[in-house]
Amino acid sequence: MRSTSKPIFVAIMLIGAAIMVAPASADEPSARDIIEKNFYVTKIKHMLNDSTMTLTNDKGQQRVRKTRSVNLLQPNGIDGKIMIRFLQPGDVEGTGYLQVQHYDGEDDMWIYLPALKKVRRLVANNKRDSFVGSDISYGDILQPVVDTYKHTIVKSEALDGEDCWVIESVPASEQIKKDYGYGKKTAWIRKSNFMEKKVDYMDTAGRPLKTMVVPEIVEVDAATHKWWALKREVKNHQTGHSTLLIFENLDTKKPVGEDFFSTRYLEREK
Amino acid sequence: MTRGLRTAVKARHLSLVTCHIIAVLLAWPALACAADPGPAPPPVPEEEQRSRPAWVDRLGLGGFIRADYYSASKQLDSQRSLPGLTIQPKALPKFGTWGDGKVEVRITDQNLRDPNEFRARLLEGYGNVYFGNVDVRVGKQNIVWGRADALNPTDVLTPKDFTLLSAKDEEERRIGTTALKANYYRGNYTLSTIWLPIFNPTTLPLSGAPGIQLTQNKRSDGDWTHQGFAAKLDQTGGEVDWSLSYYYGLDLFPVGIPISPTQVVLEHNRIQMFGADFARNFGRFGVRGEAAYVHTQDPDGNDPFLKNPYVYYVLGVDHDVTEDLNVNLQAYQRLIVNYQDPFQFQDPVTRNVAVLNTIFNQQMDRVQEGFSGRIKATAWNKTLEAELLGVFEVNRASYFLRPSVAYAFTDTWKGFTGVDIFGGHLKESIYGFLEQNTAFFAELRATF
Repeated sequence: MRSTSKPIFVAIMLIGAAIMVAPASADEPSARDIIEKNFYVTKIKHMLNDSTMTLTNDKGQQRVRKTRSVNLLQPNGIDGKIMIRFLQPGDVEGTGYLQVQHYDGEDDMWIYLPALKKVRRLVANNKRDSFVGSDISYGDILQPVVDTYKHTIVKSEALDGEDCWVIESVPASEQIKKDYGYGKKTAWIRKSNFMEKKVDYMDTAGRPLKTMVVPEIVEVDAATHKWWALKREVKNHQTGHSTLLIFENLDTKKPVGEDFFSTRYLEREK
Repeated sequence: MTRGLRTAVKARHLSLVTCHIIAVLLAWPALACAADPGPAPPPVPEEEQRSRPAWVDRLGLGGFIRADYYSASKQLDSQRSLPGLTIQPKALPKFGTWGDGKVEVRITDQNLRDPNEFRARLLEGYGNVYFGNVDVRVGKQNIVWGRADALNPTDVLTPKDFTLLSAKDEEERRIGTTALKANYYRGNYTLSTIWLPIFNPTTLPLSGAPGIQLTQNKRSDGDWTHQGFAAKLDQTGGEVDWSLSYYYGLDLFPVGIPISPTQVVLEHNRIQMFGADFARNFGRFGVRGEAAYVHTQDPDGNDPFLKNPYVYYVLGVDHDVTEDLNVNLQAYQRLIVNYQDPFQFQDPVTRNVAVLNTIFNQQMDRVQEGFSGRIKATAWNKTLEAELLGVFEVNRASYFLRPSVAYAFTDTWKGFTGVDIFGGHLKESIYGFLEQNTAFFAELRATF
C-alpha cells in the first residue's frame, strides 16, 4: 500500500504544480503565440500608401519627410519588398529607396539619388541604426521573427479603454541584444486584434530608451484580418527627439507587380 | 558706346537684375514676417504650413537658390574672393502613365563683381515615353555610368563643368548631352542603347600661358562623324549588380594641337570604350569595381597630340563603422599603352603642349596609381554632416582634399563650408597643376 500511494501522491503534486505555472485560463494564448500573431497581423500581401514623418528635436524644431511607398510580401510570408519614393523636402525629392528583406540575413538595399543619376547598392545597416534620422530603427521597420526574443506575459490591463496583454521580451542572445540595441521591450498588445498599442524600449544598459505609441489602427483586409497602424508616435527619452509617422491613402486592392521593385521604377523621379 | 562695352553693360544689368530677384527671394521669409501689422493669425498646423499647392506638385516644380562665397575661382586665373548667386529651378511634369518630362535650368553669377561671370544654361530638358518593356528618353539629359564612387572609368558620355563653384559640385557639375536613349527591361536586366547626335564637351579650367591663344573646336555641329553611339547591359538585383558597356564617339576631354607658336587648338578625338563594373556586399562591407579599356586614334602612341589607349580600373570598399560614420576607400590604376615621355620632344612648343595634354588626360606616366577616400560623419539626427574627401596620386604625390561641414537649419535652409585643397610636389601632375584653384568656400542654400 505504502509503495503505491507515494507515486500517486507525487503525480498529484506534479499536476498541481503544472496547473500553478500554466496560464490563468485554458483559452489564454501563450506569450509566444501572441507575439507570433502580432508578427503576422501586419503581413499584408501588397499595399500602396503615402506617409508623413515629422521629426521634432528637443527644442521643438520640426522636419517633415513625405514619402510614397509600395509594399509586396514575398512568398515565404515573412519578408517584404518595399519601394519608397521621397516627395518632400525638396533636397531629397525624387530619391528612391528599394529594400528586399531577408529575415535570416542581411537585406538588399538600393538608393537612387536624382542629383547623381545613379542607382547605388547600399551596405546593409545595423538593425539598431536610425531610419532617415528618425527615432525608428531599421530593426523596428522589419519586425524580427518571433524567436529573436524570449517573451513573457506580465499581466493583462486596460490601456486607454482597450484590453491588452502586457508582454516583456528580452533578446534571445547577447548578439541579438547588440544588433538591435534593446535590453528589453515591454509591449501592450491589443486583445481584440493583436496589434500593439504601446511599446517601451530599454537600452542595452537597462535604461529607458524610447516609447512608441500606436493610437490609430485600421483593418485593411477584413477577410484575412490584417491590420495597419495609421499613426505611430515614438519618443526618445534620452535625446528628447520624437517622431510622428502618419500613413494615408492605404490601398491593398491595387495589384502590385514585381516590376515595381526594379531599377526602372527606382529611377523615375516622380 | 562700343559693342563690347554695350555687351558688358547688358550682361552686368542682367546680372544685377538676377541678383536682385535672388536677394528678394532669399529675404522673403523675413519680409513676409515684417510686413504683417495685423493681429496674429491662429496657428496653422505645421503640416499645412509645409504643404505645397496642388499645381506645383502637378508640374513637379522645385529647385534651389544659393548664395556662396569662394576665395578663388576654379578657372586657373587670378580671380579671388568671389561672391556668387545661383538659382536652379526645375519642372518634372507628368503626362499620365505613358510619359513624363524634366526641364532644369541653372542661372548663375559665380562672381557678382565680374559682369562676365553671368551664365544661364539648360542642364536637362527631355521627355520620357513608356511602352511596355521599353522606356524612351529624348532630349538633353545626363547619362551616368559606373558603380565606383566619383572615379568612374566608364563614365564617358555626359560632360561636366569643372569650373563650377558649388559645395555639391560632384552632383551638380554635369551639364547634359543631347541624346536619344531606349531602355529595354527584362527582369533584373536592362539593355540601354543610346544615340548622341550632338556632341557636348566637358568644360575644363584651361587658360593659355602668357602669349598663347587657346581656341576650342567643340564639334557640336551635328556632323555624323561627331556623333556618338553607346550600349550597356546592366543587371541590378540578387547578390551582385554588374554591367557591360560600350561607347563609340568623341572624347569629352580635348587634346591641344599647336597650329602656330602662339596658337593652340583644342580638339576632341574619337574613342572606343569597353567597360564593366560590379557591386556586391560582403556582410556589412560594400565592394565596388569598375574598369575600362579606351581605344584611341593613336594606338602606337607616336602622336603627342593624340591620347594613347589606356586601361583604367578602380576597386573600392565602403563600410558603416558606426551608425553615423561611413568610410569609403578606393584604389585605382591607369596603364597607358605605348607610353611616350612628353618631355622627350626638343621643340619647346611641342613639348609644352604635349606635357599639358598628358596632365589633363592623366597620361603622365606609363603606370599611374592612386587612392581616394571619403569619411563621412553625421550627428543630431543627420542634420549635421562632416566629410573629408580626398584623392592621392602616388606617382607624383599630388592630392586633392576637401574637408567640409554641412548643417540643415531647417528642411529648406542648409549651410555648407569647407576648403578645396589642390597640391603636389610637382607642377606636372593633375592636382599640382590645379594648385591655384585651392579655395575656402561657404554656401547658404534654400530648396523649394
